[in-house]
Amino acid sequence: METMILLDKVHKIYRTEEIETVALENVNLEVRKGEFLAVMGPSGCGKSTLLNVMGLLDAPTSGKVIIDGKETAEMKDRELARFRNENLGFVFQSFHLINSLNVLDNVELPLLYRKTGARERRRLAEEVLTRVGLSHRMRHFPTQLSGGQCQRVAIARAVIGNPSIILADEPTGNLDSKMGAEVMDLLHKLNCEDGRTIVMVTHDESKAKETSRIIRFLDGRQIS
Amino acid sequence: MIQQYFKQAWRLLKENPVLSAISIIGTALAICMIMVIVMSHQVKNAPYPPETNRDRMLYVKWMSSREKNSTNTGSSNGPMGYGFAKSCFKALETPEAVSIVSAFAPSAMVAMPGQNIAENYDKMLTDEDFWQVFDFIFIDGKPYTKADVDAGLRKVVITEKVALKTFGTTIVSGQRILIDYTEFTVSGVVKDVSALATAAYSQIWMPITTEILPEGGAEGISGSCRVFILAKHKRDFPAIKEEAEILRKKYNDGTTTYEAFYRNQPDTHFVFLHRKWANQEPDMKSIVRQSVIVLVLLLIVPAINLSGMMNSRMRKRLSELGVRRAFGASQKNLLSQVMWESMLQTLLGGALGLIFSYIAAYALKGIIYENSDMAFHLGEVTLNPVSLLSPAIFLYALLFCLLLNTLSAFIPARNVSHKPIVDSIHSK
Amino acid sequence: MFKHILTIIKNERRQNIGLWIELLIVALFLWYIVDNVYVTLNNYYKPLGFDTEHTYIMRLGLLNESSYEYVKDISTETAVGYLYTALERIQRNPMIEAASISFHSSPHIGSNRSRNIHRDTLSTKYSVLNRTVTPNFFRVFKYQVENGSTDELVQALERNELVISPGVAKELFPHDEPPVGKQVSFEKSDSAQLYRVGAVSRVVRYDNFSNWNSYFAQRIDNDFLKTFTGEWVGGLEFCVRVTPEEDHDFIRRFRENMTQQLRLGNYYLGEIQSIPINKKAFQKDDINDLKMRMFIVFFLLVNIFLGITGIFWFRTQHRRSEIGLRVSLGDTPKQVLRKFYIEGLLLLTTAMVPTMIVIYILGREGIFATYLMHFTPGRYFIGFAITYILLIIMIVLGIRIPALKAVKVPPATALRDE
Repeated sequence: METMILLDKVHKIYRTEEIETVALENVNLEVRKGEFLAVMGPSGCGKSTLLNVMGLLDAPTSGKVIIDGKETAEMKDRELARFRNENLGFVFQSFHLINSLNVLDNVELPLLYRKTGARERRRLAEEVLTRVGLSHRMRHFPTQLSGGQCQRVAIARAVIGNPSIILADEPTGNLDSKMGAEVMDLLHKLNCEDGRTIVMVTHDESKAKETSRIIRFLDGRQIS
Repeated sequence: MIQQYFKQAWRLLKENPVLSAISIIGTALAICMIMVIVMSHQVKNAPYPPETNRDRMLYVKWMSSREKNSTNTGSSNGPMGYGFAKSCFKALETPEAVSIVSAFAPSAMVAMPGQNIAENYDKMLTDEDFWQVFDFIFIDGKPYTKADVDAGLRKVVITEKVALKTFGTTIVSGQRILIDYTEFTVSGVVKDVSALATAAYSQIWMPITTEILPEGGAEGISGSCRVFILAKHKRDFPAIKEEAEILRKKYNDGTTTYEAFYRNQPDTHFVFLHRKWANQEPDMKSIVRQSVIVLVLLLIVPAINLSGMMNSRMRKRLSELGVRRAFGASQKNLLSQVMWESMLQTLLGGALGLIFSYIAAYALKGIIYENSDMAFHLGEVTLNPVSLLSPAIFLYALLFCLLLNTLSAFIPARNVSHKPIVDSIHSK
Repeated sequence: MFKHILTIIKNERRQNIGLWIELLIVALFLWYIVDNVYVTLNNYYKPLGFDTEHTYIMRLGLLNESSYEYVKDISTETAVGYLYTALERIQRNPMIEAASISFHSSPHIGSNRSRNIHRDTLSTKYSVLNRTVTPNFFRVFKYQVENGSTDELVQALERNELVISPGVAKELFPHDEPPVGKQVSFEKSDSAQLYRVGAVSRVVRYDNFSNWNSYFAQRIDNDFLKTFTGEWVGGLEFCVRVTPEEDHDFIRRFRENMTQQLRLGNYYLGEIQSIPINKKAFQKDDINDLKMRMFIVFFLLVNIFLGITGIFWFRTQHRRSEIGLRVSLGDTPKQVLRKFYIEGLLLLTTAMVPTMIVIYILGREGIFATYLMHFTPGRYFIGFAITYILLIIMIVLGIRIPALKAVKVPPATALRDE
């Protein structure tokens, strides 16, 4: 199978004046196309950093990040922005919806940076919201929604741009079990039906077991 | 995309009404303040009839004389003599026109012949060139001529108000009129002049030769006249001053005891306004410095306010900016969003500021438009304060606030684009 | 608790520095303007020493030679006689309480004359105002001696003696010497003409905005009047005090009544002006200045209020969960509110310290006008007291609105925000 994400000897070290923290140490990882990968480990083990590096939200201190065959280290701001926009979709533990935009506008966000026409944007947003079961909440604002609904909006936002990769950082962490299950269902659908590659960080063993592969981290190193 | 930005900006404003109100009112106040300052400057310096040519006028308000070659440092200061004005200023060849007028003629009693009770009006004695230097609007008749002035003919130009009060109509040229118990012929009727026209204002004007002018001596240097010079062009000012200096020396050569000196006159309009006392030159440097300090103060305080608020507001939204970057916004996208947002806020502030300015123009009418000189006149300040709200100045004020708002929003937004996105997303 | 607040201030220093600088700048300018207004108003409300209510000033005009009513060949003596007749006729009008002729002495005209006075080796430091008047001038403007009497002043002039002000008396008669009956002169030479001092009046100021109060008054005599019989006649001030009952529509009624009676020789009744209205005109620039300064104070205060509200709005919102936590841990909303107030006041107070130092140095360097009041500790501290109180009010108001709103949020909601 094709390689989607390749991390080659990736190190990530955070330096402050007093201390140096190694968040990732010599990580070599390959994620194949269509895979649903769960990253597990105790908090502070570097699993979120791994996700951020994969998502180009943070640059590694050394090593290579190759996504869909492209070396990312040399990309300029505009190229990076465009690359993220077209290839990556993010789901965060605390949703990170924009409170001053309604559900539709939040979901349309990635298309906004792609010069898609307003009507087309609207159509796509309505379509993907229907898919996550929120067609009746399109004019609401994030503060008027429950946590599960918020996360479903966030997922809609992550897939509207049709990215091949979805990176989810503890997507169920702030949700109760029923809502968590709904969100997991959605992610599975995206994986199986659309063939999207998904990398999910979690510390919930049961959620991890639903995925196709689990890797474990401890102190910045992959241990399995 | 812009529509989206505006939509969000609007929503942001609505989300926190009090805070938005504060930012907007802050912007509005700053704009209003700038407008008020500019208006009070405009009213004294902008041209309008009859002082249409303020930018190419020169003024000699006072004259000074001192003893020639003497250790006595004392000087005599006041209006100049008529003869002196004629030989030292009227004789100038560079300007388009030079007018000699009475410095402060007492007000006159005006009546219709045969009427017993007279009304009191402001009076000014002028020569014929006065009508060329200033731009009066004649409703009826015409000004008196050089021949009239030379012959000392008792002709008079009156304002609409004087004509109406005395005759009940404004078409009165050729009619006889009693001024200080002396018969005059009405030569023309002009539109009322606002007391704001510091130089041209009066209610009746008559040839300077119709009265014996009190002359003060110093070999003709002092007296009771003032001179207004209309240059062909602003750039002729230095040439006119030079020529005036030659004439001054020539006059002084002809005197025995006294010599005239000008204390840096002729003045431009701006300096003329600040020349209050006859025996000292206005300290223009300190006047300008003071105005600049006040202006800077009035701008700097709202500036700190606006930028502080905009800045906090942006910092609260760092996480949002981070999320936007994660979903593909480039640096340019973010900055242009910030610009549109501050644009909306500034525009709202500007609209409110315009309303404030209107209110201030009326409420502060007394402060902006009136001064002691005018208050002594019998006429009124007939200027509509709102007419001074210049759109250009308003645009400048708006631009200033826009710059402030945008800059204060730009800086945090720029910082976001230089930081790793994760940091912004998780910042609080 | 104090230390706790200091920690908070330190943690929020980036925002606080902006606010602190703003407070510093505003306090600096506010002191300057407040001081200016305070000194001006303090001077404004001091007694003037004269009364212009119900007074008017009128002038005579001189007919033009070409007038059909012009009378040729009037001798100067006759003309002076006409001037006295005019005064007498004005005085006899039942509406008039008192009338006088004066030159450059009527208040709020802007014209004045001044000269130095000497007594033996003593001289006045600056030239003092010269009021050349007929005796009734004191009745028109209600000048008084220390015991409240106007008659003593009138009588002094009638005896051709001088009236001087306390300032002049103090300079020429040090050590509490009584000036009345003593001799002074206008020239510093042995042959100079001597004048007897007839009375000392109360302090009479030039106007509300200045403190110029050294003057002497001298009776107008015939020789003086003679120089005014020609085209300068308009320079003579005929001032009148009208009885309060008759002071309505006075100018028109008086003109109607007196125009004929005052057509004397080539003189006619010229302009009549109300002195209170002249006063307004004369002081207009100063009043405008004062109003403008107050307007600037108002503008600055509104800005400070907006700035404080804005910043504390963010801060309280930002700390909503903290406030919630405190309230749930047993702090009363009042105590939480007080913490914010103390924080604001601490900022203000620390900003005031450099301001006070700067003002002190500037004051010592003589930057501030001491023409109306010396740069005394009193002036310095009163300025600061007013500035401080004004800013405190703005800060308390500015903090109150956002903080109250934050405190009122139920702790549970606030905590959930986290």
